[in-house]
Amino acid sequence: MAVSVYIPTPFRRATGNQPRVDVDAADVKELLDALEGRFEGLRGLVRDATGKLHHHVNLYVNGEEIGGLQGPATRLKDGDEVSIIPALAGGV
Amino acid sequence: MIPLLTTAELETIHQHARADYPAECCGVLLVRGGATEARRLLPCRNIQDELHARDPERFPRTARTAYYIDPANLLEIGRREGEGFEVRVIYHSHIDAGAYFSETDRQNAMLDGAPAYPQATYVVVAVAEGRVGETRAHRFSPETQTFVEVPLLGGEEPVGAKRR
Repeated sequence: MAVSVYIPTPFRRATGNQPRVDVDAADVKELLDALEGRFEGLRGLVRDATGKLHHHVNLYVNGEEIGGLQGPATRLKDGDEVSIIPALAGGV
Repeated sequence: MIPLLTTAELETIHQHARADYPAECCGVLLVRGGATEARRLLPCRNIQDELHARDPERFPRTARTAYYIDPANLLEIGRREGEGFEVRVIYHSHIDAGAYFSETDRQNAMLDGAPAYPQATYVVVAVAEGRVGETRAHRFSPETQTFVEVPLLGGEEPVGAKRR
C-alpha cells in the first residue's frame, strides 16, 4: 500500500528536508511506525514515549482528521494522502 | 533587499486585526521565490474559542489571549508548500497589550529545541480598543539562539546580524 505522506516544514529537519515521502502501510499506526523506523529524528516529534500522538499534532487522511475516522487504526489504501501537521499557535 | 511585508500586505493584516478584535487574529504570508516572486497573504481562522469551549482544561485561554490556526488553513498551507511556497511570515494580534513576542509565542515557535519555521518572521500587531497600535517583527537568530526584533518593512536580516 503506497501512501504519500506530506511532511510540513517543522518536521522536515527529520526527513532530510523531504516534503513528501512514500510509505507502505496498512493503517495509520503502521505508517507512523514505518516513518519513525526510516527517520530516527521523527521519534518524539510526532508521538510521545507511549506511542500516543502529541496533543499539538494533527493527522489527516485525504484531508480528514483521524479523530473523526478510526484514529491510529484508520485503514489506508493505495494512493491515500496523509498529512502530519503540528499546531500553529501562540498568544500574549 | 526584499521587504518582509509590502505596505499593502501590512494594511491587510491591520484590517484583519481590527475586524477580529477583541479576538486575536492570525495568518501567514506565503512566498514562492524565483525569477517572478509570488506572494500570497493567507488570513487564517483562529479556532481558540472553539477549543476552549470544547476542552477548557486543555485550552484554558480564549481567543482574546491566544490564537490557534484552523487546521483547515494548515492543510491549505501544506498544499501551497507543495507548489513551492514557503511560510515567510506568521502574524497574529495582541489584544489590549503590546506587540512584543511573548513567552507563549516563543514556546510555540520552537519545536524540540529548534525553530519550527526557520524561514519565518513572526509579526505581532498590538490592538487597543479596536485600534491598531504598533506592529513589530521577530525572527529566530541562529547566532544568539533567541528571537530578535527585525525591521518590519526594511528586510529580512536580523537587526545587528552579520551579512553572510
